[in-house]
Amino acid sequence: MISSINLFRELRRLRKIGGKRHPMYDQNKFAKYFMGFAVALWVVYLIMFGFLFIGLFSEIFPSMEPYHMLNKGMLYLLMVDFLMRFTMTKLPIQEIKPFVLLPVGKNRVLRSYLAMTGLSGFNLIWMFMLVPFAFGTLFRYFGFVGVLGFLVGYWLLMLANNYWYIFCRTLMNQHILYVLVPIAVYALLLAGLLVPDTNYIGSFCMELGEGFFLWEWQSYLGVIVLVYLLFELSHALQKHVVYKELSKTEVVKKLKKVSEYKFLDRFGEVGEYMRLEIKLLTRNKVPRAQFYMGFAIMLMFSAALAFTDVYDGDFMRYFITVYNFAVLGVLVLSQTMSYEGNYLDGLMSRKESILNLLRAKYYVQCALLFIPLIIMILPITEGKISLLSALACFFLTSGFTFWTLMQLAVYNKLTINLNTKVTGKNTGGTFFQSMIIMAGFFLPVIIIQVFTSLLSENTALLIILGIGIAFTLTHPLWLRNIYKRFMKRRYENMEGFRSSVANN
Amino acid sequence: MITISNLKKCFGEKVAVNVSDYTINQGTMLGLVGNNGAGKTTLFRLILDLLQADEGEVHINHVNVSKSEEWKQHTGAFIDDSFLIDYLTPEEYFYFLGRVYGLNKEEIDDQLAPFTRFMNGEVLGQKKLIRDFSRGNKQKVGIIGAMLHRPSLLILDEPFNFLDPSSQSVIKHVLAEYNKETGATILVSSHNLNHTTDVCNRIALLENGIIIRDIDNADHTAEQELESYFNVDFTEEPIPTESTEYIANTEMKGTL
Repeated sequence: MISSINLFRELRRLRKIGGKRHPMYDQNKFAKYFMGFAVALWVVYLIMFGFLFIGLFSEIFPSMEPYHMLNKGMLYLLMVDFLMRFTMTKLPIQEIKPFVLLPVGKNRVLRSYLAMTGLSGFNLIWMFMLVPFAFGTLFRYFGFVGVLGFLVGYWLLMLANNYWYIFCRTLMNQHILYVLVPIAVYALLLAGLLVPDTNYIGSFCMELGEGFFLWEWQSYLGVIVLVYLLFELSHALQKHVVYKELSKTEVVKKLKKVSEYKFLDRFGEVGEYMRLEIKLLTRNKVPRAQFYMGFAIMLMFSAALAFTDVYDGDFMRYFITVYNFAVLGVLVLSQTMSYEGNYLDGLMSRKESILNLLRAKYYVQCALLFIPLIIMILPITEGKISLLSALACFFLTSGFTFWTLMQLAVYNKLTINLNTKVTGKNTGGTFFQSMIIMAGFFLPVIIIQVFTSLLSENTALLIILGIGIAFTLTHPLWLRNIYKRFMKRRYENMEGFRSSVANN
Repeated sequence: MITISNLKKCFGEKVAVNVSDYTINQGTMLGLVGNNGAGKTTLFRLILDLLQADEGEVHINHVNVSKSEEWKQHTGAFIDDSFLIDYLTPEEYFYFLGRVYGLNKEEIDDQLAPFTRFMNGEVLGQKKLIRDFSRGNKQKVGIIGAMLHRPSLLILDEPFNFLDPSSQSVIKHVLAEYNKETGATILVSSHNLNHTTDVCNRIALLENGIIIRDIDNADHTAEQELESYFNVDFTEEPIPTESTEYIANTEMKGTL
C-alpha cells in the first residue's frame, strides 16, 4: 500500500494538474489572465491596507500601539477571511470520489486533502497586509524576530480558520439551516467584543497577539491545539458524511404546477419560444439566480437614487437609470446561445428555429423592462429623475442596448451549464463578451452625456427617445441580420458549444 | 433520398469520415454499424448539417443540406442528450416540438398514441423535468420527439442504448411499422448487430470513416457476414502497432 507521504504527494500533484487544466482556462485564455489580474489587484489592495492601518490606528487610537489595535480586532479579520473562503475553497469531500475504490483508504485520502488545504496559498493571502503592517509597527521595538513571530502566529490563526470553515461548510452542505452555527458563534464573539466595559474577548485577542511577537509558548501552543482540534473535528465530520456525498442522489421534487402560459398561444411559433425562454429563466438555477441578483441590484440603486444624495450628480443619475434598465438584459442576453448550447443540436435540426429563438428572447427582455420602469417610479416621485428620462432610457435599452448585447449571439460559443453553482466551472466570460457588456452599459450613458451637454436636457432626451424607438422598431431587421451572421458561423459555434458541454 | 458525394471530414490528422459516393433511396431502412470511432455519429452529424464537411456535399431530396434549411421540415433526428431541452417535462417538450412543426394539441396527442406501449407509463404524467428522468426514459423522450411530426427522414444514433430489453423490442416494431406505413427513410446506428439486422433491409459497415461494405439485408442474411467481420480471433498474433511495440519494449526493461 502506498505510504501516507507518497499518497499526499500524489494527490497534490493531481490537484496541480487539475488546476492547470481547468476547463474555464482551457477554453478561455482571457479568463486566465483576468483572474491573474484580479489576484494582483487584490494583492496591491492588501499591501495598501497594511500601510493605511498603521496611520489610521495611530490617528484614531493615539494612546495605543497600532499592533495592539490590530490584535484587538483579530476576530474581525478572521470573520472576513471566513466569508472570503466561500468563493475560493473546495471541500475535501468533493474530491474523494475518484479514489474511493482504490486501495488507499478513504480516511487517508480525506486527511491528505485536509492537510493540503492547510498548505494552500490562500492561508497566506493576509500576509500581504500583515507584512508591511508588522514592519511598520513592530520592527522598531521587537526587530525581525518579533515580526516573524507575529506573522507565524497569524498564519496559524488562518490555518485554524481554514478548518473551522471546512467544518461549517460541510455542515451547511447537509442542510442550509446549519448556517446558524457560524452565525451563532460569531454573534456570541461579537457580543463579547462590543458589549462595553466587558471586552474580555478583545483583551484576550490583544494578549494572544502580543504572545506571538514575544514568542510566548502559551500563545503558540493554544493556537496549535486549536488547529489540531478543528482539523480532527473537520475530519470526523467529513468521515461521517462521506457516504452521503458519494451517493449524492438528490431527491427529485415533483412539479406541483406546470404553468402553460396560454396567453402566448396567440403568438404562434415565436410564442412557443417565448414560453421556452420563460421556462429557461425560471426553472434553471443560474439564470434564476441572475434574475434575482439583477432585481436586487435594481431595487437597491433605485432606493439609493430616490432617498439619498449619493447619486445626485448628472452622470451618476443617468448611469444609475441606464444601469437599472440594462442590468437584467445584460445578465441574460450576454449569455445568448451559451444557455442554448446545452441543446443547440436539437434546435439546429429545425428550420429557422434560431431566428424565432432570438425574437423570443428579445420580446421577453422587452417585457421585463417594465419591471425597472415601475421601480423607477420611486426616484421619479422624489424628483430625482424625470418621466421623460425614464422613458428615454427604457427605449434606449430596448433598442440600442439590446441591439448591442444580442450581437453576442453570433460570437458566443461556450456552453453554460444551467444548474451549476456560481463558483463552478461557469465563471469567466470572453474578452469580447466583456467588451460588449461594457459597451451595453457605458455607451448609452456616453450618448446621453454628449447630447445633454450640447442641447437642453429635454431636447436631448427627446432625441435619445427617438433613437431608442428607431432601434426598437427596426428590431426585425437587425435580429434577422444577427441570425444570418450566426448561421454563417454556425459550424464554429456548434463545435465550441459541443466541446464545452463535454467539459461542463 | 440522400445523396452523399465525396464527403470528407478530418479531426486533425484523423480521417473521421471519407465517403466517396453513396445514395440512400427513399424508404430504405439503413443500419450503420462499425467499431467505436468508426465515424457513425460523425456521418450523421454531417448529414444533419451539424458539422462542416472538409470536402464534399450531402443532398436530401436534391437539396444541399448546408445551403438550405428546407430539408429540416421533413427530417427528424435524435443523436444524444443535446437534442433534449431538459428543463421541460416530456409533455411540454412534445407539445413544443409539435407546435414548432405546425401540429395542434389534438394532432400531437394522436401522434403520441402509438408510443404508449413504448413509454410504458414511465414518461407522461410524471410531473418531472426531463433532466430528472433515467437515461433510458430520456432516450425514449428523444426518440419520440424525433418521430412526432412523422418525418420522411428519420435519423437515430444508437437508439437501443439504455433501453430495457422490452423497450428495445417495442422500438424495433415501432420503427418497422413506421417505415411500412409512411415509406420513410430510416437511418439507425447501433452496436447491437441482432437488432440492426432484424430491423434494417440494408447495412453499411463503416471502418475508419469509410463504408467498406454495403450489404443488402432484404433476406436477413447480413448477420453472418457481420459476425465474421466483428469476431476477433484470439489464436492469431495481433498485428503490432506503435503502442504495442512500445509496451513490449518497456516490459523487457527493468529489473526482475
